[in-house]
Amino acid sequence: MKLTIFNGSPRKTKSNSTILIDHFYKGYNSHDNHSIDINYLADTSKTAQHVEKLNEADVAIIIFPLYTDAMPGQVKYFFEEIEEIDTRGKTVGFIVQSGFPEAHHSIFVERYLEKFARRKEWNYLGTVIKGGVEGIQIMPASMTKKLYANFENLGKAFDETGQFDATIKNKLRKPFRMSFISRTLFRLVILTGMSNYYWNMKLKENNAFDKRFAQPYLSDSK
Amino acid sequence: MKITLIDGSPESYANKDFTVELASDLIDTGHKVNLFRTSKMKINYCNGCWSCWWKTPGECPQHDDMPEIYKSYIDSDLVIHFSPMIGGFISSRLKTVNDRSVPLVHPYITIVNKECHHLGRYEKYPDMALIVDPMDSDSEDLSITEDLYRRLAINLKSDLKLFSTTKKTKEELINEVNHI
Repeated sequence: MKLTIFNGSPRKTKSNSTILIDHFYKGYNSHDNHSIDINYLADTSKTAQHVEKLNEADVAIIIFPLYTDAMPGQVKYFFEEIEEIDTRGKTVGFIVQSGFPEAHHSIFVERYLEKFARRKEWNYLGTVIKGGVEGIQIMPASMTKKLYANFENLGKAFDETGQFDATIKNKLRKPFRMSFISRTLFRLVILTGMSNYYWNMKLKENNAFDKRFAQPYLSDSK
Repeated sequence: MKITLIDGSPESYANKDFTVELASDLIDTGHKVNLFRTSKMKINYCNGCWSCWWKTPGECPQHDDMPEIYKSYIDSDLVIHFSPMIGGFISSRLKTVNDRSVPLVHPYITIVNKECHHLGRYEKYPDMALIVDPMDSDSEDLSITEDLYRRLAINLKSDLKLFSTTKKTKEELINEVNHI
């Protein structure tokens, strides 16, 4: 079985999707050393090559960050380009990760992916959804330990069964929505200004904090 | 109404003049329309740099034709998106325009409809409408696309006021827009 990964992050190798896939691969390779084949869909000059890679693949995983509640434009472009080839019978799974913590944001594109897989007559492995991924590159290790372990276990189970493990998939989908309690707590955090800590830190690093409410595209005629 | 009409159809789309005629009919009924035919514009993919959130707040650093759309967008009462259905969804071109809407909102997070969402950057955002040419899509594709646009509208502090298709006549479509 040859597994081919398509990473649809516009940030390519520097993306959070790359970090998640690295941990997935660690688990996937815990028994044997599979060769790693990762294709970055945001390299749109290589789309013909990516299409060929899918054509050759037995099993593919397509991972992308949620952009305006759907796939990034580069991923949609790849989907359009594979219309030209016959990919019936391929086994394909998806991983969708979002910045917002709740999985609920990603279930609308999940419905699209399931339908798209049906349209292509793929053997659909399902969609792994994980929220709260933005910021993992600056989080202390204690905060990402569980997330990375889950992705490692997801990869290990994928190597053993060729499926996304349902228990891990369900774990990653939490929180599905914010509970009343977490919303109330979050509102309190908003009042303290702590919820904007990450953004303020980045704005200050770039000397842009004072301009954070800028409205550069407002028409002059007003 | 001030209307921004964004045509996301690819160069290869057969019914090329659809949005030109729609814009002209909307102008005839008294609207002010800015039409953007994106296949004739330079619009890069969003590269996820987030400069628009933390380096040059509100401003995308890419040098292409998006600023024209941003300015018209923020100045409008209604934004109409148009696309043929390709692979069960809008074109990658139009999806890219949507990806590039990030500078129009603020990175700060707030709670909307019991969910996390970004804060608005501007005081006022236009209503949204989506018109699609169904092509080879079925009712399930259309329903998925409508739902994804309702989600897009929440992100853009807006509301999807109209979802329609080119199965309707021009008169019916104009009528629907006038009833928003």
